[in-house]
Amino acid sequence: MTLRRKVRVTLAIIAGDLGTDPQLLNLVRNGVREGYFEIAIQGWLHEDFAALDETQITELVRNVKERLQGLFPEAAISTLIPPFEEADSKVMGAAAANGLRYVTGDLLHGKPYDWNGVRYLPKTVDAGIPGSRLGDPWTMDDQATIIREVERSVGTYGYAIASFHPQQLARTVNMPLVLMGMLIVGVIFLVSFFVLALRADKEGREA
Amino acid sequence: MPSKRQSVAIASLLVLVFVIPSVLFASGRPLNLTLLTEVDENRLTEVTSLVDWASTNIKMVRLDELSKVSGENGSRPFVLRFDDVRDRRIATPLQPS
Repeated sequence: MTLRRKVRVTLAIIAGDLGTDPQLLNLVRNGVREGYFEIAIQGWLHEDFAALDETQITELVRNVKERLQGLFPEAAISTLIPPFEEADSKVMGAAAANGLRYVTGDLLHGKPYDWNGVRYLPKTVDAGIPGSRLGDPWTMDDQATIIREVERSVGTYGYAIASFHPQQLARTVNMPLVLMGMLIVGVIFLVSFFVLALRADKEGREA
Repeated sequence: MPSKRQSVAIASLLVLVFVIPSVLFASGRPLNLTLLTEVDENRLTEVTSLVDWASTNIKMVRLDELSKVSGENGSRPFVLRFDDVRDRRIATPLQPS
């Protein structure tokens, strides 16, 4: 597996969900070694930081940082991307306590600012609409729309940060249709078995 | 021919396998899956084109380089943040991050 394009990208990694695919690990390690990839923290299993207090977030971020540093020894980990982009003061505190230098979340949590040595840099461009609930398909804007948003952001903030997700690049399976098919097959099997069982029972009694 | 008891056992198994997932789906539980191992080539092409545009017209940087580059005259820094990175497998998609 090799990189199709060598470009500078920040990878927000879910630490507890990475490490079993040696090909992927090697790809990311090579990208880090060559300076293209930045390794950023995005939780252990994409936890909702809003439900945790600062001590819990600090502990969690420390564990994630240790795991990622173990997986990618050559990475200088300095960025926290909180799951759900909940970048409040607790998250900033946890980042500072773990020696991180950057937090990036949503513009809802403010424009760029500095706090105890940590710089907050919000995402400024959405590349599509995420699924509104678990299981909904994700959309991705067309290239012209994204470019327009990037240009607008550079004009407004002096930079652009756009987020992409693997869900936007993956094919979706229409589970409702699959389940409907399974249900129909299941009902046919059920009815057949009951009919056969009743017939066998009746024949047994008659014999 | 299956005995009555066998039929009941098989029927129960079928209910477990077919009916319960359907009821769960009908109740709005998240059973819609994204096949993360299958890449949508059209969308990948869109992102590749975007990267080509950015490489030519703007300065692609990592987020940890942004503050340094922002101060440069005429710099137009662009960070491509790729979220939810994890091992390839079939999985329920995560909520937005």
